[in-house]
Order: sequence, then structure tokens, then C-alpha cells
Amino acid sequence: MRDLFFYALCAVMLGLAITTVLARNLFRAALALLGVLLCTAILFLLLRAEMVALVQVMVYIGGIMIFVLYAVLLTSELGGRMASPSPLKIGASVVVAAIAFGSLGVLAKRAGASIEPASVSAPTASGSSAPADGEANIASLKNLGARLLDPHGFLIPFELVSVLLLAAMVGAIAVAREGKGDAA
Amino acid sequence: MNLTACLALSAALFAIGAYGLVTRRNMIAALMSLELMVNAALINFVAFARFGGPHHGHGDPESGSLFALFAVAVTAAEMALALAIVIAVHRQRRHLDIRELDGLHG
Amino acid sequence: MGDPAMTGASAWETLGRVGYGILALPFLSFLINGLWLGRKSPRASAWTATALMGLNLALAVILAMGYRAMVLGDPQGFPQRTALLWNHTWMDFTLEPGTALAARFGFYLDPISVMMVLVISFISFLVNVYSIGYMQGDKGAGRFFPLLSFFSFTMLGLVVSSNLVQTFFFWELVGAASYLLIGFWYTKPSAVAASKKAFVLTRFADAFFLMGMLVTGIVAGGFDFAHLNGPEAAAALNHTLTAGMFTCNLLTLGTLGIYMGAWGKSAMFPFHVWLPDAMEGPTPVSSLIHSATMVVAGVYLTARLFPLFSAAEHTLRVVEFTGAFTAVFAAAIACTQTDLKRILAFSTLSQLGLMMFALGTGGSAYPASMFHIFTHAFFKCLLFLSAGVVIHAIHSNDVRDAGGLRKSLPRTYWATLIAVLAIAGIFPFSGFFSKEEILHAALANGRYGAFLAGLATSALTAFYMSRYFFLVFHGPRRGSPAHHAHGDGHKPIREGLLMTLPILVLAVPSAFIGWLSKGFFLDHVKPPVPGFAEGASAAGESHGAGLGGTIGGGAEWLPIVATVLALTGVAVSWYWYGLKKNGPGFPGRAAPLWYRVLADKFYIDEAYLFLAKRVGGRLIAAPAAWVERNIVNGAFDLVTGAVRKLAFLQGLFHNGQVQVYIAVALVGLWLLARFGSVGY
Repeated sequence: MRDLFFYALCAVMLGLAITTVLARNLFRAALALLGVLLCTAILFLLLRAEMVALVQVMVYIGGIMIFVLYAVLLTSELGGRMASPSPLKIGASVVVAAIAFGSLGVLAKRAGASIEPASVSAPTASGSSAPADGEANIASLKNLGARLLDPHGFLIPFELVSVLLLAAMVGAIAVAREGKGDAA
Repeated sequence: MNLTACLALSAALFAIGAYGLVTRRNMIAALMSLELMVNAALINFVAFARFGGPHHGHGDPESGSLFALFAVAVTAAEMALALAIVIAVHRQRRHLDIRELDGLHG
Repeated sequence: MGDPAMTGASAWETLGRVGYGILALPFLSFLINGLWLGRKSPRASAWTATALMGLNLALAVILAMGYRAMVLGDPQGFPQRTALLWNHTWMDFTLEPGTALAARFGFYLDPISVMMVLVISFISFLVNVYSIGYMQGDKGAGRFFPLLSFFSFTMLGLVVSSNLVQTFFFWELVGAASYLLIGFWYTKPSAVAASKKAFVLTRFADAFFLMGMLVTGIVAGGFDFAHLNGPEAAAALNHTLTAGMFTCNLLTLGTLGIYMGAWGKSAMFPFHVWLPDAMEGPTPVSSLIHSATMVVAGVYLTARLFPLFSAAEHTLRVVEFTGAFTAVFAAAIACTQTDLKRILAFSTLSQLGLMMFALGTGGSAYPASMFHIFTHAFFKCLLFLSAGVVIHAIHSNDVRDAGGLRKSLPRTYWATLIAVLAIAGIFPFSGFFSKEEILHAALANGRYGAFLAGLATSALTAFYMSRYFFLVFHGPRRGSPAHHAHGDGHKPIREGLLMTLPILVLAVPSAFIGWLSKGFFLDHVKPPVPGFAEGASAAGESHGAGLGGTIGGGAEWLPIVATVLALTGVAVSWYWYGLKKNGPGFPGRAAPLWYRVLADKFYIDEAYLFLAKRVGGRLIAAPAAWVERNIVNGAFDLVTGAVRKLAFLQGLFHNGQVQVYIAVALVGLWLLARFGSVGY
């Protein structure tokens, strides 16, 4: 049941992703991307990473996607249809994408093969291939918080990220601000 | 649902994103493709955290999640700047066609 | 401090914090004023800098008191009177056990470092106060104060360094700070040229310093002063290398290299040319450079490594000779200069020569030399500050435009009088004591050449300083032609309070510090060498050739001779410039040949120009240019042509299309994953 759900989710996700890169209408592409991100959040829930799923919804969908939509609206490309790429480029890009998928797929298979004998040695009765040591590999919210604010753990990156975000905010304002010299 | 499946999904998302990044002529669309690729990376982080990496024995499940969280934060910063650039470019050029923006050729 | 309940350890901790504060406050002032306040409000930044420097002075006093109580008051615990307040290791290159090849950052306490900290803080504070008045209305005032604080910071860091690496670090920072301050009025071409000159000349000398430092440190197995000044470092260094027909002693080579740095920084002949030109900076800067920072650094470094230097007989002779020669040479030039600040600049050169040759004559002159640095700082600072007041008042740098300022600048007049008497070495003013100690020591060490040079210098000093004094303050007011033309020659002259106050404050130590501190210097200021500290009687047995001799003693006639010579100098200049008003070079009188040679500073600058342009240009640069044009460039053209063809092919990819770049990058990633070692 769980596997079925997983594969269905994958199918929906890939479909939406393809829509994202192919849609001629920018708004439609943005909505498809929204769907992909939402599906990813669900996938994270399946993988028992609740915190990441929450952040995915809040930051990506609540923040970044809204931001993208604003950008679409501000640049008034909402209804505009995008010029389609040239056939030559499509061909080249398909090759590039195929190469990327192929090589990553090979890596994925090798990675899975090297891990799974250890982690999925005893499949559970429900038929799910979740790791045998089950709960041990799940990050509890409590542990997560403790590690995040632990001076020997991730406290310094955590603080640095806040500086980075501030810098990005200031930078974004500086870049997007209407300068005196601009024609607009 | 196992590590291989998750990684394969991530690889597919990455490839689709790469395709979009190379073909899309609109800057915002290219950025959205970029988001797909970042998303693929996030899935990898979480998948490895769940199913374990090469050093599975002495695992560290929080690290994967935290890495994903940091990646999200960095992406947020990156997107904020990228979209600011999009708006600045649009204000100056009145279009967002990547192929016209070839200032890098020096 | 001074709390009897406080245990020794916690008192040390407190003193350590005071040490951090001494370095942090000027730097803080630099940051606050340089990054923020200076641009907002020059006025506020001036007061902030002054307040912080005042606080710094308070800390310096606390440090000195703590040092006196805890180190000097504990001869068993600290037989060599040195201590490390703290010493952090920055980079450790130690490979073999027993050596300590590390770059450290420390706070070294010994009599001279504590003395220098006090002097620098005191002078910096007064110069800051003075500058508030002096820089009022200057457009760059907001830039001035942070730089001034930075200058003090670098010099403080230099004097407290615990090792050569830290010294070199701050040494260069001092150079950079002086470069910025000498060229402060960067719209003036002469100021820019002067700052470049100072920087290039001292940098040239510093290159040798670096080499000497590396040779010394690596061979001796450590950069720490405590290590270098010990007998084993000198023994480790003392072996001779032979390469073909050249032989060189590593001890001599290393110390000579280090001394080259001091040579340039203290502007000994023939590197002296930068110092008079450094007058292009604002007067407070000159005052700081000449009294407490920059030029004193050279003498200080020589003193800091004195035990090592005194093991190297040849180096010591070089120190003595350059010092003695510069002392007489600069004093002779000073007799003929007409620029207020140039007279003072050459007088600084001459005094630095005195301090330097005193070190060169050997161990017993060490306290005398340090004593002279100490007294000189006060009266030289006073002289520069008062010269600034005069320049402000008459709007000219020329003594021929001054004259008769006694009435209009009474406070400056009296303060300058004290400083002139002090530098001339008239009893009981401060210069008398320190100069006499130097002469005593030279005589006691049997260095008669240097002794005679010292006597000649003191006579010349008395002459040119009183000449300066009579020309500026006595006689009729002459005024510059430009002033008469503009009709503002009779603008009332005022002495601003902010500018006269530091001068009056400085007059007190200029007058009295000599006999107040003489005992301290003779009792406590000794090279940190085992044996020497136990008293003069044991000094002869200590290591090194130059450490023998006794302090004071003998030659009761010396003070009388020195005073008579000084008074003669004063009398001659009074006769020529005060009474008859027709001495050589007096305004309106033709100058004899010897006078012109002196006035043109022995044509050293011209000689440099000749060397650089004619010899360097014609003989070296011109042939080199031909080779470069015809041979080197030909070969390069061949290579560049080929590269250009290749680059054109490669350039086809670089068409500015980001998406092409991305595609190429992805293919490259695949190649790495496929054929590289990425992945499993």
C-alpha cells in the first residue's frame, strides 16, 4: 500500500516536473512547480522527515513560490506565451538531460546496492522495504532542535545562515531598488 | 520504497530540471527549472538520512534533515537575489530573454 | 590596583587585561572614527579619539604602576626585570624539539617597553588634544583622527612585541600609517612625493630587516626576544660560512640585516633623506613621528635586541659609526636650514644619531640611550607643537618670515624656551642629564671618536636651536612678502587654548623629567642579560664584547665641558642672530660657500637623483630596455600569436549564452562522474 502510494506520488511528481519545463504559459509552469514542491513535501513525510516537510511547505511553497509568482506578475509575463526553443536546442538538451539522468541513475543504483544489504536485510511483514532498524534512523524533532542549537553541532552554521539570509535580503533590495539612473 | 527508488526519482527530477534550465528562454522559467534541481538534491539528503549512507553503522539521522534545512535556507537566499536580478533586468531591458543577455561573452 | 587583598595571580590577570586595553583602545578609536564617526562629524570624531587616547594614557599609567609594583618590586621573581603579560601563539613552525620557531603575539614587559608605552600614550594624547585645534576647519579632519589613532596603535603594538615576527608586522604597519599621514594632504604633489619617498626608502631597508630576521630566527631557532637575547642564541648564530672567496659570519649577517631595518626607520645617513621631506604632513603628525613613533622605532629595535647585537662586534661598530656620523652631519645641516620644521627634522636626525651611537658604544650606554629617547620625546614634541602654533600664526614655514613673536605668542615663547634649553643640554633641563649620560658612557667605554662626535653634536645643537629661537621669537617681525601684498600682515595673532595647553603641559617634563627619572634609568634600565642585571661590577663577565664598562663614575669634568660647549653655541648664535642680526644666512645677507653646501644638505638628494637617473637610467635601464624590446618581446610575440589562435577556437564556446555554459558544465560533470573518481 505504502509502496503503491510512493510510486503514484513519483508519477505525479515527474508529470508535474515535465509540465514545469515544457509549459508555454509561465503561470501554468509556476503552478506545476508548486505541485512538484507539494509532492516533495509529501514524500518527505513518507520518509519520516516531518521537520523538512514542514519547512518545505512553509519556505518553498509559502515563500519562494509566492515570490516567483510575484516576479511573474511584476514582469507582466503572466499571459505571455514563451517562444519555443529551436529543434536543435531541444535535441541537444535532451541529450544533456539523458546523460544527467543516466549517470545519476547509475550512481543511485550503485548507492542503493551498497546500502540495502545492510539496511533492508529483514523486510517487515507489511511488505514495506523500510529499514529494519526503523525508528533508529528517524530524526525526532527534539533531537533535531538540540543538534541545531548545540555549540558543538550546528549552532555556528545556523547563525551563519541567518547572516546569509540578512545579506541576501539587503542585496535583493539593493539590486531590485529603482536606481536614480534607471530609465524606469 | 527504498533508497534506489528515491535516488532514481531524484535523478529524474534533476534531469528534467537540467533540461528546463538549458532550454527555457525566459529567466523566471529557467529559475523554476533550477528549483527542480535543488529539490532533487533535497530529496537525496532526506533519503540518505532515512536509509543511511555509506557509514550507516554509526548513523546520524539528524544531520541529513539539518543539511536539507540549511540547503532550503541557502536556496531561499539564492532565489531572493535571483528574482531581484530578474526584476532589475526587466526594468532595464523590458524583456527577460536569456539569449539576449549575453554580456558574459566579454 | 594596589589592593593588598588581591592575590598575585589575579593582579597579573588584571594587568593582562590592562595590556589588552592598551592595544584595543586606539584600534577601537581607529575603527569607530574611520568607519563611521569621521564621516558623520569630524568634530565628534576628534573628541572621541582624544577621549579614548586619554583613557589609554590612564591604562598606561596603571600598567606602569603594576609593573613597578610586581616586577621591579620583586627582584627574586624577575631578576632580569622582564615579564610576559600574555603571549599567544599564532603560527607554529617548530619542527625540532628545543627550538620555538613560532609567530606569536605577545605583550612584553621590561623597563623600556613600559617606558615607551607611557611615552607613546602621553604624547599621543597631547597631540590629539592639539590636533583638535590644529585641524579645525580642515576638510580632511574626519580622516585625520582615525589615522592618528591607528598610528599610535601600531607603535604601541611594536613596542610591546614579544618577538621579531610581531615586531616586523607592526613595523610595517607603522610604515603604512606614516605613509598615510605624511601624504595626508594628498592633493599636494609635494606631500604625495614625500610620503612615497618615506615609504620606498623605509621599505627598502625593511627588506633587509626581513632577511636578517629570517636568518637570525631560523638559525637561532626562535623569534622570541627572550630566546634571541640569551647567550645560546648568540652562540648558535656565531659560525662562519664560506662560499668561495666570500666568508660571512651568520651572527653579523643577521644582526646587520636587522639593523638595516632600524637604519632606514630611524633615518640614519644615508637613508636620512625621507625624514625632512616627511614635514609635508600636518604638524601634529610630524610631532608624533619625531617624538614617540616611527623614527624612535629603529633605536628601540636596536635596544630591544641589544644583547644579541653586543655579541656581534662588527654590527655594533656599524651602529656606532652610522649613529655618530648622522649626529654630526645632521646637526651641521640644521645650522643653515630656514624652514622651521626642517630645522627640527634635522635636529631629530642628530638626536637619533646620538641615541644610536650610544647603543653602539656598548652596554653601559644602554640606559643612557633609553634615557635620551625618553627625554627627547617630550621636548621634541613640544618643539614641533610650538612650531605648529608659529606656522598657524604667521602662515609660513620660513624662519625668515617670523621674528619678534615673543610679544604675540607669550605662552609658546616660554614653553619653547624651556624646550630649547632642554635640547641644548643646559643644566638643569632634561636634555642635560640624558646627553651627559651618553657622553659619559662613550667615554667610559673608550670610544673616543664617538665621544668627540657627541661633544661636537651638543655644541652644534645648542647653536642651531638657539638660532632657531632667536630668529623666530626675537628681533623685528619680518613677515612674508605675500602677506604684505595681501595686506593681512597685521591680523592679530592668537594662541588657541587647545593648541597651547598641550605645549604648556609638555613644558613641565621637558624641564624636570631629567633629574626626576635619572635615578630610575640608572637603577633599573639594563639590558635583559643575566649577569648585567646584578650590577655594574659583574657586568664585565657577562657574555658579549660590548657589555663591559661601568655606569657613571669618573670624568667629573665632563658636565662642565659639555655645558661650556653648549653655552658657547648659544653665545655664538646670540651674537650672530640675536645681537648683530647679520650671521651667515641671515635674511638679506649673501651666504658663503660652506653655508650653501650645508644649506643644500650636502647635495645628498641630488646625488640620489643623479644615481637613479644617470647611472641607473643610462647604464642599466637603457640596455635592458633594448633587450626587452627586441629579444624578449620577439619571443613573446611568437608565443602569444600561437596562444591567440588557440584562444580563438576556444572562444567559440564562450558566446555569452549562459545556457550553453550550463550544458557544458553538465557534460563536464558527467565526464567527471564517468571517468573521474567521483562517486562510488
